[in-house]
Amino acid sequence: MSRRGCGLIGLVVLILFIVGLAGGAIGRGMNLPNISILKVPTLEIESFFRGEAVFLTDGPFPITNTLIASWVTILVATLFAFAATRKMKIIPGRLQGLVEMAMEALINFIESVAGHKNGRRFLPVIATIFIFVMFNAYLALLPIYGPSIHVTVKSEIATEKAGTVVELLVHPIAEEADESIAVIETADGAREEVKIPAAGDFEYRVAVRESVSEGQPVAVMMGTTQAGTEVLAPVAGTIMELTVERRIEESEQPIARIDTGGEDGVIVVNSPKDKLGELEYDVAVNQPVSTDDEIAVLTSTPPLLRSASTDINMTLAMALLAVLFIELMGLTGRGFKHYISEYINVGELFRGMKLFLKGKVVDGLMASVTGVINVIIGGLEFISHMTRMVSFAFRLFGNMTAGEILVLSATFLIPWIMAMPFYGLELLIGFIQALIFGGLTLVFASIAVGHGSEEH
Amino acid sequence: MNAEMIKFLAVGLTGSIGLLGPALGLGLIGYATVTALGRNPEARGAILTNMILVAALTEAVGIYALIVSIILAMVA
Repeated sequence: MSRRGCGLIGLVVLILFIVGLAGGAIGRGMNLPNISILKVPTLEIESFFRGEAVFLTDGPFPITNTLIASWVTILVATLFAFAATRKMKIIPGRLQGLVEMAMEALINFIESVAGHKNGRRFLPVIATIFIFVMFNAYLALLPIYGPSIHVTVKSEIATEKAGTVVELLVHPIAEEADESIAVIETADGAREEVKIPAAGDFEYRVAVRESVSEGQPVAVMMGTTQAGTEVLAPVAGTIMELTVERRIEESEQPIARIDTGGEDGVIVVNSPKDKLGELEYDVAVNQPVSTDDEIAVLTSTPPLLRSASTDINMTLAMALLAVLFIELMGLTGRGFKHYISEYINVGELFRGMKLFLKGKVVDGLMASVTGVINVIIGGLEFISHMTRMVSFAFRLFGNMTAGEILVLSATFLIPWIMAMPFYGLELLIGFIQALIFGGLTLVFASIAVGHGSEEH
Repeated sequence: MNAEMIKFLAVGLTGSIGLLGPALGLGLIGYATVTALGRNPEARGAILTNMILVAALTEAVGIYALIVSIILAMVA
């Protein structure tokens, strides 16, 4: 590139940096002139360990955004492999060459640790773990993936004119009849659900933590055929939860009508443009409001995709698989007797007892003490094998989450430019974590197999 | 000293003390790597591979401390 081209790029980067510095959190702290095109989201840590449910939210098996992301990863990896091996040639093209090179490097790495015979046996599992973790990490850097820390954009909706609230227009909607709309806890601690008789929109007549008596209306049906039907509380108790939320499902949806009393008449307050999510009212009907009063808070919906490795369930599942693989390799590689004697090592103890019974008290005592120590060591061995699972799971989860937080805080402090070097770091970390997860499984598995061959 | 203050102290101390060990460990790894490279420059590839592996393992310990402090900040 020519010197002028380099200088131009440097200038653009510098300008972006200065704009970002002024518009981000640092600039806000220093009271620099605020640039309104940059919107810095409010950071809020929510569902740190798990993905947020996106589909089937109330069912027994909610589909989280991390789960969808892992499906996408599987799909992309499969398509990648398919594209690379569809038309194989003796002289490989670019894609085929890349995949062959990567595969060869992987095979060499595995064989250098586990040896030729075991290496070939371990290859499918280790390579799967490696490829899956790496694809997860790399795909999560794409802009369509939401940040792992739920960036809740809380928009506060205010009125432009003072007046009295006439009507709240966004109602909770029950999707089917007999849906549970509230949970009541009775005096003796039992929880009872309130069921709605028909589908449709309704309005709550009670608030959370309010106490209700039996037969008191909890909600009333609205615009459906059963308008006006009251939903009664089945038992007396305290309202613990109002399960159905108010949702904004289209841009600029009307949310409240306010009677200003003056020449403006009744005005309608709309939700902001292009913002969907959950709505929570701060006002009630017939409540007077003044100008710029906050009447509702809109909490944005979770992103559809989120890095799969930032879900502890995913990494734990992979750790379970890895530990199971290691133990299975130990079992098949060394035979049941040798494998189990590592955990339950009672041979020395029995020998000591036998000596004791034969009358050799001193020798028997010595052997028994060694035997007891052996049993304890066996227990420790078992615990250390199980601890691997936890450390596998938390290592991957922690590294990926920490990386996301790093990128996110860089974006938060100085938007646009500051995140770029961290993206480079994330590329490295994604590769290294894949190498560590696969490599440790490999090392543990080859140790588990190796012990036996030494003893034979 | 109220509960909130103690909570934030605990969060900060978990992070700082917990990261002390990995920091020392990373320093030792770097020291050992540079020494090994000086003695045997031909083995560069093997040394660097092992270094990255051990460095990432050491770093993971620091990440545990980070997770504990985040949990403290969120839950406690």
